[in-house]
Amino acid sequence: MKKILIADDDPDIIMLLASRLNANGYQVVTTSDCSTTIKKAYIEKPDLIILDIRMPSTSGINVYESLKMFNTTENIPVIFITAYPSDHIRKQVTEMGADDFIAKPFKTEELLPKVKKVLNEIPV
Amino acid sequence: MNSSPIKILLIEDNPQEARLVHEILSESDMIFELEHKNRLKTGIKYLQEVDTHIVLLDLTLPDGNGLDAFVKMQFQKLAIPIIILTGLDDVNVATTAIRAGAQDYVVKENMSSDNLVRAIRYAIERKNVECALENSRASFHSIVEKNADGILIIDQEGIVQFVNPAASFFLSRDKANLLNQKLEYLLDDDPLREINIQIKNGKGGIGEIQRVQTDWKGEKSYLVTIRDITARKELDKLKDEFISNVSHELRTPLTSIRESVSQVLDGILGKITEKQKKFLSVCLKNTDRLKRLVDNLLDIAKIEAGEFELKSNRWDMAELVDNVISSFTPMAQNKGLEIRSLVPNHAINISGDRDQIFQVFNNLLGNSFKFTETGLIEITVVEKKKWIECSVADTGKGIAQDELPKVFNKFQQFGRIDGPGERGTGLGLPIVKGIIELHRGKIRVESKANIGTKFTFTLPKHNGGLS
Repeated sequence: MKKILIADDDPDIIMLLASRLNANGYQVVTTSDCSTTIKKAYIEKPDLIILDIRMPSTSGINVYESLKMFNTTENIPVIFITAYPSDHIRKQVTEMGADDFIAKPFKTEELLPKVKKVLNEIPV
Repeated sequence: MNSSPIKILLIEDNPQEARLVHEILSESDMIFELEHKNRLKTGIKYLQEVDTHIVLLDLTLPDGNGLDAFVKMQFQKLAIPIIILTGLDDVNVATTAIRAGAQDYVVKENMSSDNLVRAIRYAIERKNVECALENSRASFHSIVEKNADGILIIDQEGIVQFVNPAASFFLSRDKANLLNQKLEYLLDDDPLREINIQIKNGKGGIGEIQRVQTDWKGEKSYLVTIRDITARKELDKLKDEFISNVSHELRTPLTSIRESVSQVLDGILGKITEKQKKFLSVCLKNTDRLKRLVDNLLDIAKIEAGEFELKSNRWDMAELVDNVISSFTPMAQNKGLEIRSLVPNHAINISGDRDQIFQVFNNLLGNSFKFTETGLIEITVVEKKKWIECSVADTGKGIAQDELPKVFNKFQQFGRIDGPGERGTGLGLPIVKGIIELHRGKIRVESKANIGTKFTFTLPKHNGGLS
């Protein structure tokens, strides 16, 4: 079973994403702030991280950069999720090399294919 | 010269010579009024009280002699042209007086109707020109020296030829430290850009530099202006943050609502009845409507704040129209409407944001479909010299004449029909207008009740320039 780490500061979003991903056969671990995201990623070694961009204390972008600094976490794919899907942010995360980008509010039809694609579960 | 009389003041202590002047003037065709004073003091007093065109001034007066007399007159700053009347032996003094600002001199012994009248006319004319020049110089000086924008003239090597106080302040270097110095960075390729400048209280700010070619003392040079845009930059940042915050705060709860409802609907949390399904579908549909409204509101906010960014590149309008037609064909078939396009059969190159122009067609056709029950929806593209003109016409119910001017206003919805399909947000047309205007195009609408509506917009052809 593939493991997905959800990092979002909104507990409702965490619950809903976890529920949706569980229902589709994924194991889910969660974290609600930046400092524990890196620690959780290091311990849990998930197959994918769904990372919120705007979180308290620091931005998901900084977390992403930290993840890329450690051997254990640098190869974990990351899908960014944000409630402010501006062109600027979209461009920034693409240039950083993020695997995908999801705008809130998202639709299931949009979320699951992106997750599957990043996890190599559907042919591209 | 005009026909109203020329008012002349003669200051001359010799009554015979005064009479001579009067006689000579009377012989000419000039219409004049001559006032005679025999002392400098009374003459000046008269000038202060009575509007006078010209003064004929004898240099040897009992209460003021030669140049002294003239200088006294100058001190009065009366700005009236003066002709010196002088004897043959005084010519040197007269020329000195001219250097000091008199308009002309006439040698009494040679005085004739001809040369006196000519001297008077020229003197008045010359004084007018001098005044105009002085006014123009003073205006230029005050415009440039008091300008809040920094102004510099640099030659083609970047050497400063002229600098105004604002430029010197922005660059925090005094005038002497700038003139004849080389400021190479002002010659950078991009003629419009931003630099760091000094602003009030010695703080750092942002200046916008603009450079245009000009001539300076016959040499090809550059006029460089520096404008303090610090406040504008700060405001832009605030606007950006506001839009970003509003977006975040509205979308976050929408996400939770949508996903909760959607999961119950999908049966993830257990079976639901058909009736529950129906109600939850209403909830989901309206959540999506709210999401569209948030998206549209943010688009409008960005357009109005000038923050809407166009991703401009070159593409073919004919190909875009084909795409639009194919994406709307199923909808047309569903509703039993004909949809077609009338496009020149070659590529039509456009510079602009393809996605946004697609959005324009999407919004316009969406409206047409909403209000057309039978007949035809047609996209036409006409190529003009510098522009292309696109129109979307339908055979729908039309818009009443008195409502036509309001169609591009926000939240104006006409003839709203509740039925299947997406409900409007009242922002579709204002966004269309915003996008077209960002492309430097124009949009207009014609409509006849029960005959149909036609929206026509223009776009500049390739390299037509984008904001």
